Parts: sequence; C-alpha cells; structure tokens
Amino acid sequence: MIASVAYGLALAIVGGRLAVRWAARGAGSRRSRWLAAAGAVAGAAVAAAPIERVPIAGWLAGIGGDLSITSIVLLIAALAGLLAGDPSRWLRAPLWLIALAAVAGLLLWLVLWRVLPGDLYGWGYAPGVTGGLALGAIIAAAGPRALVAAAALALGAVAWWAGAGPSPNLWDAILDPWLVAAAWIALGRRLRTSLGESGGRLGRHPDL
Amino acid sequence: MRLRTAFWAGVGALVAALVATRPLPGWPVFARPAAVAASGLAEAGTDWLPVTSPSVHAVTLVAERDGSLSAAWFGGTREGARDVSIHFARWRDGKWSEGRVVAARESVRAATGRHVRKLGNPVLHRDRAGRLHLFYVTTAFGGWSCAMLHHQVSADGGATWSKPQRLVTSPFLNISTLVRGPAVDLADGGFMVPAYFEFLSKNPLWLRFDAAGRFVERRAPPSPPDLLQPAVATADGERGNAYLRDGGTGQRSVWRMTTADGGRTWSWPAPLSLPNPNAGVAALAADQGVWLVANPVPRGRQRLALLKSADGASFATTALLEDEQGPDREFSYPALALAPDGTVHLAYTYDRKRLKHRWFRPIGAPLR
Repeated sequence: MIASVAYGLALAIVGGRLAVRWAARGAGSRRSRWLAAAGAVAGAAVAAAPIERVPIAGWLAGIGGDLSITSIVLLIAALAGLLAGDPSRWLRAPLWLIALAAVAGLLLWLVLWRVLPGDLYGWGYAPGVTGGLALGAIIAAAGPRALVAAAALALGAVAWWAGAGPSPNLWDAILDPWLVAAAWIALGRRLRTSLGESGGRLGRHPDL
Repeated sequence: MRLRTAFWAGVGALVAALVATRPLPGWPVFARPAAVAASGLAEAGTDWLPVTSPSVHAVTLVAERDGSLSAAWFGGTREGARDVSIHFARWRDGKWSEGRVVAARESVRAATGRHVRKLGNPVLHRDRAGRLHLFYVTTAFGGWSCAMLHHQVSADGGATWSKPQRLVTSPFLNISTLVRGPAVDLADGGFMVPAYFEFLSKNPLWLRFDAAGRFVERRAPPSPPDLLQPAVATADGERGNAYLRDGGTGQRSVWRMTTADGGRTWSWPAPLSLPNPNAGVAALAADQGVWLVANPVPRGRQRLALLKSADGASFATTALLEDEQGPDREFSYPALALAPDGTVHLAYTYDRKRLKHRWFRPIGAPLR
C-alpha cells in the first residue's frame, strides 16, 4: 500500500512537471503553480486508475519494488517544491552525499551479483556500532545544508529501528534502486555542467 | 548556523545510537531433527496426488504429527502461464483429498494491490507451534530470475490461510529470491528456509524466520556461481549438509556444502561424484548419513533414483525409482518428508502431468 502511494506521488510529480513545462511556454509563474497542481492531480488520478482491478501505481509497485523511506520523503519534498513554484527547492544536497548514495548503491549491487565478495546487504540487518556511527556522521554533516535529505535519512533509520516498513534491513529503509539511479543521473548532470563551465576542468559545486 | 549544526549533530548522534543498539538475535543452532533410523528403506505404497490442472510441478511435502501429509504444488495450463496457481491437498488414512487453490495470481494481486504476472515453486513448512507456512515465488516481469517471495500462514492445518504477504529480501527491486527445498527448524523455535538467487549469478541463500514466523534476515553464504536450490539435511543441532543443483554448463554435479555450527557458517561448496542434469534434489537426514533422491545422470530427467550415503559425500543408488526414456518423459523435483512413525514419503513430478507419491518403511537395524 505504501509503495503504491509512493508511486502515486511519483506520477503526481511527473504530471505536475509536465504541466509546468507546458506552462513555461508563456504562462506566468503564478499561473504555472496552478497548472502544476492540476498536473499533479491528473498524475495522481492516472496512478489511481485501475487496469485489471490493480491501480496503475500498483502495477508500478509490482515491477519497481518498494521505495525506501528516504525516497518517499524526497518525493513528498519534490511535490511540495513543485507546488511552491521551485521544484528543486527541497532537494538540494551536497555533492559528496549524492556521490555516496550512488557509490553505495553500486557496491550493493556488485556484491549482490557476486562481482565483489562479501554480503554487504546482509550487513544491513545488524549494522552495529560501525553502521550507526557512519550514518549518524552522514546525517550530522549533511543536515545543516541539506535539511530534507538529512531528515529523510534520519526518518529512514528511525523507521528501521522501530520495525516499521516492509523490510528488516536498514539498506531497504534508506536506499533503493530508484534513488541510486537518481543519484547517478544527478552526478552525470553535475559532471556535464562542471565540464561545461570550467572549459573541461571540474569546478567546485557544493550543491546540486 | 551554529545552532543548526548543533541540532544536526544531535540528530546524527541519536540515529547513531539507535542504529548501533538495535540488536539482531544471534543465529541459533538447528533444532535436533528427526532422522531416518534404519539402514534401509522398503517401498510400502504408491499413490497419485489429485490432478488439478493439465500441468503440475514442484510439489512440496510436510509430514504432520498425526501421520497425515500436507502437500502443495503449482499447476495450470503450463509452467509460467497466467492461470498457474498454488494448489494444496491433505493425505489422510491413505487417501488424498481434493486439491484446492490456496494462492492465485488474482488473490495475490488483490491482497497486495500490486501487479503479479505468474506464480511458481511453493514450499510448505510446519513450524514448532503447529502453524503451516506456505512460501511461493511470484514475478511481476521477466523470467523466474526476477521472482520474489510471498508468504501465507495457516493455523488450522491448511483449511484457511492468511492473506499473502510479500517478503522483501533483495536490494535490487526485490527481485531474485526463490525457494524450492524444505525449511529447517532452528533451536529458538524459528526456522531457516533454503532459498537461492539467480539474477546474473546463481547462489544459495538462507532466510531466517523467528518463532512467530516473522522474517528476520537473509544470509548469502560464499559459493561459486551457478549453484541453486539447496536441499538441507541436518544431522544434529550443529552439523548439516546442503546439496545443490548445478545450473552451470559442461560437466555438472550435485554440489555439497557443510556446516558445523548450526548453519551460522558454511563451507565452500564442493562437487560430488554424482552427476546432475541441472535438476533439483531432495535430502533427508539418516541417523548416520543422508538419503537423497536425485536424477543421477548428466543430462535429462528421465531417471530418478533413491541414493544413500554414510558420510554425506559418497552416494550409492539403493533403488531406481523411474527410468523411462522418451522426449516427453520427466521425473523430477522430488520432495521428501519423514513421518513420526518412521515412514519416508516421497513425491515428485511425473511427466509434468501428474504428481506421484511413494512411501517407504524403514528396514534393518538403525545405523547408530
């Protein structure tokens, strides 16, 4: 159910962004906010539309798996930003945090597919002192500059601690393939922008 | 800014404390298993499970305390078809009940609100509190390598079942956790379900459940690629053997991995001198050694044999159960269960059209 709601949120964001893009051709910002809201409602309606008695969001949840608490919080922030007229307002995060998410996800998959040895995913059932300190340090470092990202991570950790959510594994509470993919896309964009602005040399861009 | 930094340092410290102090219950050893207490087995009867569909496969057996049996399998027009469902039947007083559907694509979709494409491989387990657990795989897209697990529980011997619950056991879209072999009881009242991963790489997994039937953790023991469908036979609380299907190419064998600490750690798998045609095996512990039902040939599933080993590594055929050549012949996916009176029950796929049930009485002196 939560996963279907999350995919519904994602479709609402897609609807809202499409409406804003369409509005950007001529409408003013005030009008574009209303169009974003209308687009989001349309996206949510599409998500709720059933095919063979399963809502479209349920089809996406069946195929795309559960989203982490982190992703769900970021989706809510993205929708709020969209409706406020600044889609990326709540989504800014330091480059190092995005790179960390991208690399952690990649490592998780490489171990899963036995390209690398070990049981990194299994570690998420009992991360212990090392995992606790690492996550705590990440949240403490990210918090002052990336409020929503840090809050999302903290909420994910607390939900895992409380046994809420579909998985007893901490990784599933804070990271999922869609978040990892988004992190890699964000890294790629950053790289392209940096190369473009510095004439081929990487510049320093603390925020995305 | 300082206040904000201090606030987030506090949040970080709190999260660190919560994560660091949430314990994972230690891995218990195996519960002391029932074992075949005889040097030999003599066939005592044959029956057929109820025919519920044109194609049936992957039967799983549980021996009940009163000597009856519970069985589940998947059936439909063909493997992977949309109409495939999980069927269940009981064997009492020497007769099988009618088979009935306990999980179908529609019921799983309705219960989870998610898209489900097809169902497959069920595994039944009776926990120590008497509840019957049913695990089966489903896919939303792709082949079996993209499968995930669902779990249902019955507190009344299979008459009624809980709603399907989707288990999250993999970090990549939750895909590629499959089951085939029966679960093993653990000393804390929980149980371990042998499972396997088969997306890009094939390897065994252990899924641990607590005494309440809740999923606790998934462990991936180190192994070479292409090994799947572990069948576990535990000798006592500490020692156990897992026999694996060889999904590789070339010269295939049954592989074996062992544990000496109740399943906490496992040896690196080693191939046995027992050919395997990329087919699942069934294992049952004996007082000293192991009984195995397997297709002991390098290719094809037309020969099925009962084998015995005193050391868990060297197997000798004690009975040829099926041996009929032909392009459409298949005797595969055996399931074994030990009844409280010592009777060994075997069920397996017969040409994908029927499921055969044979049972054996222990003969000869116990091996101890």
